[in-house]
Amino acid sequence: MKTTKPNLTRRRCLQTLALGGWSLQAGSAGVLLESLSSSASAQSKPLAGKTMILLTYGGSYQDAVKKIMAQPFTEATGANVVIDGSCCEKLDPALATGRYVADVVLGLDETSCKNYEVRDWTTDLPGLKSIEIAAGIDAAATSSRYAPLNVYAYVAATADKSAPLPHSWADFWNVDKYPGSRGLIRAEPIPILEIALLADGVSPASLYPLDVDRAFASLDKLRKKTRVYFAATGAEQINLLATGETKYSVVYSNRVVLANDSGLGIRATFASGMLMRNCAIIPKAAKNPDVALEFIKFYLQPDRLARFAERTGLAPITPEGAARIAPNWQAVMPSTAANQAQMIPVNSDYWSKQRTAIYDRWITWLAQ
Amino acid sequence: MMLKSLFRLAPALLLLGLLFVLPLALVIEQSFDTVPRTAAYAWFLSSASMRLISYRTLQLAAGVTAICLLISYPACIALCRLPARWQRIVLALLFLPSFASFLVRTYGWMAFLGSAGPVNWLLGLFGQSDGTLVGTFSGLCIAMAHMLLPFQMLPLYTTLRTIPDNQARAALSLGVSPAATFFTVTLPQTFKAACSGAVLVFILCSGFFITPALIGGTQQTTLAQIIYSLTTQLLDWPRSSVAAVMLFVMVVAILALFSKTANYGQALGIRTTVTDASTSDYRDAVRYRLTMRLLCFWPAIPRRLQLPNILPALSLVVAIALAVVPLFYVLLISFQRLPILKPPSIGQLSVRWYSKILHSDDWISGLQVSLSIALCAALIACAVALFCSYELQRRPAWRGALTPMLLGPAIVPQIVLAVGLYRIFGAAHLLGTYTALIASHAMLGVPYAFIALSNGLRSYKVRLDQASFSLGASPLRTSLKIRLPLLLPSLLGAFFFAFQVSMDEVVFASLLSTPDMRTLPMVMYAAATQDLSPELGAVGVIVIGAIALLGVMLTLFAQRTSRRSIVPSPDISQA
Repeated sequence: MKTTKPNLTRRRCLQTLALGGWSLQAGSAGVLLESLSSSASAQSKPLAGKTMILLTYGGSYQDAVKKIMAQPFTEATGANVVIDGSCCEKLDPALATGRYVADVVLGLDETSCKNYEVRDWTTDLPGLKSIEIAAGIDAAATSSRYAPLNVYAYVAATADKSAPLPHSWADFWNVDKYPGSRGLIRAEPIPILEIALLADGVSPASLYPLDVDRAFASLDKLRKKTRVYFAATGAEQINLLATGETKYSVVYSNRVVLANDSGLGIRATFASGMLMRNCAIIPKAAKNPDVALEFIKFYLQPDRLARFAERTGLAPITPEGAARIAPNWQAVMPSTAANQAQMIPVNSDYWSKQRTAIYDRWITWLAQ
Repeated sequence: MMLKSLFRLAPALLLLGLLFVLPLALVIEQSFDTVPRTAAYAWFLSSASMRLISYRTLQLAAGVTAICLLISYPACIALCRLPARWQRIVLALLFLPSFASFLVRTYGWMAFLGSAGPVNWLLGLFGQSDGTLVGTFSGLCIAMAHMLLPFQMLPLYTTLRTIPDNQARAALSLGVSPAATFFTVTLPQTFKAACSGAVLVFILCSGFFITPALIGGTQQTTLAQIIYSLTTQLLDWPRSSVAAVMLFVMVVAILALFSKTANYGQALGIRTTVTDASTSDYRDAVRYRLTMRLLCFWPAIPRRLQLPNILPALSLVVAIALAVVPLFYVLLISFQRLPILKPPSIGQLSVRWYSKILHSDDWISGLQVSLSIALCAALIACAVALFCSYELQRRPAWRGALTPMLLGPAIVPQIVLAVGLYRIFGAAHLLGTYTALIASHAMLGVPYAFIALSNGLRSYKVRLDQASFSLGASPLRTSLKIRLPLLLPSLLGAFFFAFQVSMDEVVFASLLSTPDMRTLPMVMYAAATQDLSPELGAVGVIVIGAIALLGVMLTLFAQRTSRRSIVPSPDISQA
């Protein structure tokens, strides 16, 4: 379908042309008018005939992007969106060498986006920042190098109906009071180190800069007390909770929403949850940055954000979007004011500078 | 004449030179792309984490090799004792599963090893209520043994079959116990084959990275995983190149260490003729004795060592179970209504994932892309391998020099090559083209096509060519009327293997493809990492069904043609 789309439009153009030629020959004014008016309606869509490549994660996430964002965007603007669901193996190599890989990349964590800004791999687009401000994003979170899209949180969860939920990270670390195995994630030390420090008694206000030694010492303590499983992916974390492999786990809030939507019965608490944002970038080598900008503008509409949240659990970045979420979904969204008040934001500025340095240590520690 | 030979070898030299040797050279060059030149090497050698990870990579490879050796020996002995018809069935059960996508099989193991799996139920019976295999060394070893056992069993089985039964009977009649007979009669004759298999298992295991990443815990991080993270996440190319060079050096060192004892062509399936085996028999026996003495093992074998008679049969059952269990689990999971890897209870039965994949563009377009890429890649690989194996058959002197390069792509970890290929195709402005992906998949398929065709050509009689020529047939007519029909089974086998390699490749595809070239393994990989839902199970069932059908068809076809043909040609099930 993706491949045939450009051909189809080309074919349709040819058909229109042929039709025009035939109608001129036949001298039938009616057919001529009809073909003219159909091409006029195509032209009334501002981006008709343009094509953009959108790089994002595969699977159900890609489905949601396609149904909630890309297809309605095409209907509204006429621009064709080709979705590449193979993020992100080839993204960094392409950005580093300045190769065209996509016009917009969706769903990257804010830390990576800031990292790309430092490396100067994304274009400085003043227009992007004005779109973000117009959409109602908190001014402190806006940038002309990337666009914040959604909020999500790292929260404590369990699938055991009879087990009490821990209400702080100190509780999560307390194996005597909350017995059983624990689940964490291995892909990134963000925000596992924060959680380890909070569990060790560091106050949220004095979290940054992170005391990395203390964080690893705290993780060591947990690992000595119980079996800790570091899952490879967020999906695996949910699976391990649901099969009972881990009793308590740190999980992505959006995955909890999805899991419960399909009847898995996972309970999670937003208490001391770590709040994060994901973003979109427009790479420097993008061929259609204008379409990408329009797409981000489209994405940030309150209604789109709310529908996307109901489908993926990734909550709107703007208060207007959060307000449009259906009432039955409000309680499970990290964008809801009552939930947000309990959570601690991750400092992505800190991480974008420290990530590479801490990564080596993270791998060493994990391998021990 | 010389020119003609070169002309026949040129496609292979070109394809492998550009896409196998050159990427390796580029990776080495890139590893020195630092200031000072050896900075990245200094980092690798001084980093405690890299030492630890290298050690763990070797530890995993050693563990898996040990499991494969321990299971395959008695299992192959039991297999050889079976009646011929049963041997065929058991061989199919052992080898056909390895043609189902490794992602699907990894997924089956994830489900099996999880707490919902019967392993934990078994561990529970032994009083280990907290027992688990998820993310443990043992769990990963089991899954990796499943992936690599065929490589150990293939050379062992083909060698064991050539040992006459009456040798063991003679030893037994002289009062030697079965176990001692094994050590004094069977083991010396199969030592070389076992070594070949073991070395291959060790090397392939050290280069695997997706299965350890999905099944292993954090303590099973392998060097290949580090190369992958350094390449795609941290973009530290000098460092990732150094790690790749180190992995490559390790592979070459092991190959060189065992180059006298092992025959890699045989391990990968090239059949040695009887004459090959007998000329080196004596030297093998001496080498075997020396090795055993070094291991302080030889004097310790008691003449009347008793091992349970049931051991071979039991091992064969374990080997079959190891091959089939993950597929069975994939089948079970695919009917689970909930998005978890747990066999469904009666109330959770559902076919929703089947209807979902049938209505999804992703899987169908992925299949289309993969089929077209695999078709082209397999055709190229077969053509290249045909000319090359034909020429090498006639010039045994060149075989020794060229075989390492021809088999190399099957042995060198793909992640090592991927970095170099990315640079080559980038420089040629071919990134994201079908050309790039087809060419690299063809390169990967060459070793397998070469093996299958070498086996076919070995039994091909050049006299038939001469007879045809003397009767006045043109070379083209001879090719069409004589060569092609006789080589058809091996050609089909070569095509099947090369096709399968391409259908199963995800590392190159994810680096070299564009959005409209998303292959089936890429969609599978996304499903395994993003969603981990039974959807992948349903796809897996379809893949397994298709492979089984194709395998059965090819075997039947090979049997039919071998019955009809003038000279006996090899059947594919053993290739």
